[in-house]
Amino acid sequence: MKDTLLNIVNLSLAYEDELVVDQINLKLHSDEILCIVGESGSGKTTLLRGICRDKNVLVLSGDVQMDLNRMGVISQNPNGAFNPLRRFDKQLRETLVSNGLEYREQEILDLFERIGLQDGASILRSRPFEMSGGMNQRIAIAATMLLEPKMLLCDEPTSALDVTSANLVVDLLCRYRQKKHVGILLITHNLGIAAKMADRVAIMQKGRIIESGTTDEIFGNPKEAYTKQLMADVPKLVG
Amino acid sequence: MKTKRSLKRKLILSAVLAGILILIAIFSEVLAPNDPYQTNAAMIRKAPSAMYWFGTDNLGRCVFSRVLYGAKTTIFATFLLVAISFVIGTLIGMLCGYYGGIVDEALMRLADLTLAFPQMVVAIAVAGMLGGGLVGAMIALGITMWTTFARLARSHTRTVKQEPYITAAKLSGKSGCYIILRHILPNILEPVLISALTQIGTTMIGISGLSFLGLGVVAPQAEWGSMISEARAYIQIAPWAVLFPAGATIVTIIVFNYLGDALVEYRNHP
Repeated sequence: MKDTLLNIVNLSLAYEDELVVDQINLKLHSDEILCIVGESGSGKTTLLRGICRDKNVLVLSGDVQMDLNRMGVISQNPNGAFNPLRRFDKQLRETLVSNGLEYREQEILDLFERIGLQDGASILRSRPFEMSGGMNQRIAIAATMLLEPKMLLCDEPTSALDVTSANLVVDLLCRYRQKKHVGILLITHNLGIAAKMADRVAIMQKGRIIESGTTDEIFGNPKEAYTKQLMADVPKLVG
Repeated sequence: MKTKRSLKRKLILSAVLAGILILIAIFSEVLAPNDPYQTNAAMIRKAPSAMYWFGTDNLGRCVFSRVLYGAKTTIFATFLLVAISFVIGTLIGMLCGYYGGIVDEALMRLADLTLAFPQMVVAIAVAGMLGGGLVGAMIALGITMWTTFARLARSHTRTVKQEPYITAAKLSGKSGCYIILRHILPNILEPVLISALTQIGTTMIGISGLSFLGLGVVAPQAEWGSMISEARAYIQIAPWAVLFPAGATIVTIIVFNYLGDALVEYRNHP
């Protein structure tokens, strides 16, 4: 029986006087990847911010039920997760200690190796500005994993990355889910990513979930015209 | 379009020239061939010679030695004033940018009020009220100088504050003071330091200008502005007494402005 990690009930969110998210109902379970897909401006990121209790987002109605202490967040900007000028080991130590955990370098090096980050000792002594966006994003995911969250909220974690790095990040998240049976809520505008990794997909348009279902249902038999349009708009590789 | 390499060469060249000037200022006492305060009635207004490379002034003092000692006064006073304004302005800017609210509003309106008046007009008025002297001149110039750093630091702080790692630090329970010193200051330091460097030339003009007007360094202390002011009365008889301190001022300002420009160009090159 899967645990319900996140339960969103009739949630409406606004920025000042502008309604951005309208009556959203969603559940995320353990050992599951739920992708929310929509074009830019559909309210996906606002929804995520509302879930994270961002004070800049006004909750007009509804409720979000979850355990904030067992949640990890992966942001879109791979260069914003860390202070670009401080060494990774110092920042990871600070993160672990502030969460009541001990900094054990060997455990971190083992984790780096498991997730395909070579030369972990050198990485720990490096600074984020010395790394590429892809590397920073993978290290950010590793840092989140160190805290062993039950749920991951990912806000377009691959949109700022090249195709190869994006693929590595997607694989990393899928493997983490398989190993730890976590629930992952992933916001993306990339249908390919959703098709590859999601168990369930929710299509968002103008602040509303217009269609949701399993990946096979959504991609195999989309019902809404907008969903069909999104599929049709995906550029095809020539040849 | 300039290459990164050519910009680097320009930066190194300007840094070397600035370094030379600073070394001259530091070792002025060693380099000066004569006592800059020693008067000599027999050597009044003498033209440049082997004994007095830059000639002598109205009191028979060695102009070359006074230019070297003046370098120490002018350059160090400038650096000290820029450093103090930088520290105070950056601190105020970071606090305003991070905390916002009424403190931010009050201080930024104060900065606006200060900037409403031309800097030299304010400096002359304040220096006059304080009765002149180097310290008075520095205070007079410092009253408006901090606002530049404060505004820049505030702007960059407001940008850095939006980053997820700052949010993470807050959620971890880190204090505002810790976040400002550990996370925000290192990330805003570069642009504010570059601004400080570009301020050196302007500040030097300010200090020399006030001294020229009699509101800064006063005789007999050697300072380029006051030397020009003293010697202008007899410029037709002994032009070297004006030209050499003026030349030193111009060269120094050009070198530091060049350094500031070189650093900005190098940093902004993709």
